[in-house]
Parts: sequence; C-alpha cells; structure tokens
Amino acid sequence: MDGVPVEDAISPSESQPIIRSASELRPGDRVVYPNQGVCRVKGTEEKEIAGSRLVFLAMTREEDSATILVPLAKVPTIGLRKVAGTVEIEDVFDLLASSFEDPELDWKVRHRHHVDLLAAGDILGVAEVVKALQGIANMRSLPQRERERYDTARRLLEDEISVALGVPLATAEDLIDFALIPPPGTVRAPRKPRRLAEIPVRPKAARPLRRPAAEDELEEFGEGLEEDLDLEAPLDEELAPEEPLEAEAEEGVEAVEPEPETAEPERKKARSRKKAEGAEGFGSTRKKSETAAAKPKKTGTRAKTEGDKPKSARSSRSKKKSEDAKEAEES
Amino acid sequence: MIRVVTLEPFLPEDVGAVCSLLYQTYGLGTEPAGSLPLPEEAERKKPAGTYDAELLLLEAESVKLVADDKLLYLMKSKLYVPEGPLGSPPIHGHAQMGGQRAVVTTALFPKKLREGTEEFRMRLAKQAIREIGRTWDLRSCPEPKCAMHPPWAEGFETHTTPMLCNFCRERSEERIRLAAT
Repeated sequence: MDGVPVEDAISPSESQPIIRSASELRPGDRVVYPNQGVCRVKGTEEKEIAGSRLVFLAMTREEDSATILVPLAKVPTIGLRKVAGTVEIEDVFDLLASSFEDPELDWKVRHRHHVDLLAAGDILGVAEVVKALQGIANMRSLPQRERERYDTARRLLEDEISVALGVPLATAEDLIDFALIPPPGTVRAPRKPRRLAEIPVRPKAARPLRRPAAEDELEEFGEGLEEDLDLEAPLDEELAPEEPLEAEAEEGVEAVEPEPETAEPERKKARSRKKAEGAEGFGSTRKKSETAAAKPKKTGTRAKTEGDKPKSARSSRSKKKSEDAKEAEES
Repeated sequence: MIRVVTLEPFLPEDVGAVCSLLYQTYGLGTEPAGSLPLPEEAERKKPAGTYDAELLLLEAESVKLVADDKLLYLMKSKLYVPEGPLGSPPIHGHAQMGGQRAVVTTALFPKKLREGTEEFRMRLAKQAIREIGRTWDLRSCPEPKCAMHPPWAEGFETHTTPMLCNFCRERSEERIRLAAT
C-alpha cells in the first residue's frame, strides 16, 4: 500500500473535521476517538483531582458503554473527530475493494506504520490496516499480535461504518467482508485506491540516538580482532620470542625421544640463539619495540597494539614476561 | 445454553447434528427447541420471498430464554440486508452482535448439498457456529479454516470441518467465561 501515489490526498482534518474545541460538541453528539471507536458525548463533568478542580468532557464508548473523561484543554489534541460522511465511506470501500498491493514484509516497518495509522484515527488509515493485514492473511496465518491488531482495526472500522451507514453491526461486517473478499465469480477491475490516509508527521527527537549500522559493527569487530590476534604476522615468527618455556618443553621431548647425533649440534645452536633473543626481547618492552621498529611488516601492527593498550595492561604484561625470562635463565 | 428453533421444516437428524457440533465447538449445552412460524412482518415484497434479516430477528417469536442464552433460527428462505456502496453481499445468516439471536439460511447453499447428507449438516453447522459466534461479539476471521471466515469465500467451502481457529476459540471462551451468569 505504501507505493501507491496519492495525488489528490486530503488530510484527515479536511475530510473528517477534527474537533478543535469542546464548545463544538453537544450532549448526544457522536464522535470518533482514535483507537477507542465511536463515542457519544454526555456533557461536561467537574472533578477534583489532586486538590485542583478540573473540567472534563464525558463520553460513553458505544461498543461497551465505558465512560471516557477527557480534560477540556486536551480535547483539541487527542484527534477527536466527527463520524465519517458519505464521501469518506465511499473512499473506504474503494480502498477495501482495490487490488492487493505487495504487503510490507518487514514486520517492524509494518508494525510501526500500522500503529501510526491507528493512532492517527483516520477511518481511511484504519481501513488501510485491515486491507494490509488481510493481504498478509491471504498468504499465511497472521501472528498473534497482528491478528489482534486486525481484530481491533476491524472493530473500529465496523463500528464507524455501522454508525455512518445506519446499518446493524453484522451488516456492516458483511459489507466489509464483501469488499475485502468478493465471492467467487465476482469480476472487479484491478485498480488502485483513489486516496490513502495521511500519517501526521512525527516530531523528531532533538538528539537522535544512533545505533551503529551492521557493517560498521562488523568493521569495528574485524579491526579489534585483527589487532588482538595480529593476523598479518606469521604464527611462528610471532610465537618465537614470546615462548621461552617452549624450549624447555622441546628439551623434555628430546629426553624421551633422542634424535640422531648429527642433528643435535644444530638444534643446540638454534636453541641458544633463541634463548639469547628471548632474553633480549623480554628484558624490557623498550628493546622489544626497538626490534619491532626494525621489522616494519610484522611489528607495525604489534607496535600499534602495544601503543593502543592501556598502561596498566602493558606493565603487567612486561612484568610477566620478565618473570618468564628469569625462569628461563635459571633453567 | 443454545436453543435451536426451525422457522421452516428441517430433518430432525440435521437439527440434531447441528446441536451436537455447536456443543462440541462452544462447550455449551445445545438443544432443539421446536418450530415457529416465519414472521410476516419481516417479509419483503421486493424482492419477493425474501425476509429482512434484522427485522426477522426482532419480530420472530421466541422460546423461553434466560440471560446469556442464545437462540438460533434455521430457515430456507433468502435473507435481505441493505445494500452497501459495492452492492449487496450474499447473506447466509445474520446475528445480533453481542446479543441473543441469530439466524442461518440454507437458501444460498450449493445445489449439490442435499438435506440429510453429512456435507449438508457440516455446512449448516459451520454457518451456525459463525452466527452464534457473532452473538458473542466475535468478528470475521481472516483464517480460511475458521468458521468465522466469510461464508461466501472459497476457503469456507474448501475447509468443511466446522471449527474455530485458536484466536476465535480463545475469544469465545473468554466471552463465555465473562458472561453474566
């Protein structure tokens, strides 16, 4: 329904005059309260609330005879309007009998749109909700919330049509069903509705809260991950200076499974070289960063990571590393 | 209690089957309550042989009812309702929304359905469920399997089992629970 161009759209205030002041109303008048339905005006009532005397407009909801009290000052703001006339009713049936548009499949967008339409209180808006939900129900069962909304919208529409046309509720329901679901064999030319309801513009928040878009979130997450894991650096290069205990483990393995003597001197040389590097690397973070500067590709990320981290984290890490180096020396 | 009254002759087996299916659906005692004449006041001259649905419910004689009892009339003549902006819908029944009385007619039944057959009973019961549901203020349901779906829709004929969808069943149970008595 959203994609239909509405050239000659008439605002709700033009088509169904909104009541601007309680003085326009007389006892016995029938009015439509958005989201409540058709009400009959009883008159004004004075009540004392929290020490102050307030004057209310008293109405009775026709559906269940519930009493509604609205402070007189709020009457112009609640969207109270007169019952739809012949032209509006024709527009409603025109809309109900029009071809089904592709329904909005994003339930959040749909929910928001329907809530806005119902809150606006225009009869065309209510009919639009019924039409849209019927379109979805033709494809699949409605979820519970939307089924309830469909029921609410239908009630509001039936009540008003019943009052406007002066027919019983059951007849109003049949007329709506007849427009929505024509009997088999009925031929109606596919067409768009003459006009649709207008939703009043929502006031924008002064400082809108912005949630990061999904792509931004992924990017941030990816960056963090890259920094933490240092994905660019080769794994063996990365681990070599940090793992002096690995040498011990290798020694232990050697004791269990001795290798041929020819390989032993080379291995010992490599081990001693590693130890020397390790001692140099773990002696101080400054030295490490200097080493890092010498190897641009590998340590570029590392240096950035180290620089980005808080001081406390860096100091605890260097402390741990120096302890490890001491242990290595002792062993 | 739901009382079923015939305004034109029906087979007692059919009426019994309708009562049984109404009881299964709403869990309320349902019984045939005899026959009554069609109200002359509700008959319309144009088109001839039709009855004004709203007037019929107001003028038809009644049987003894207590609060929250429902009265269902069964008839075979056509019903009339005022035309809307798109014309007159094919009326299979009428009810007082949230009231006590409802009427179902077999005038628009498909010709293949014959009295005394299982299909006829199922169809009659399904429409009876719909009209009685309206007296509990249930509204039309978009679910084709549900008995509250419009009776002229394809889904209503395709799904012959007289039953309510979950939503309508819960609503009806709520209304029955909250009833005055």
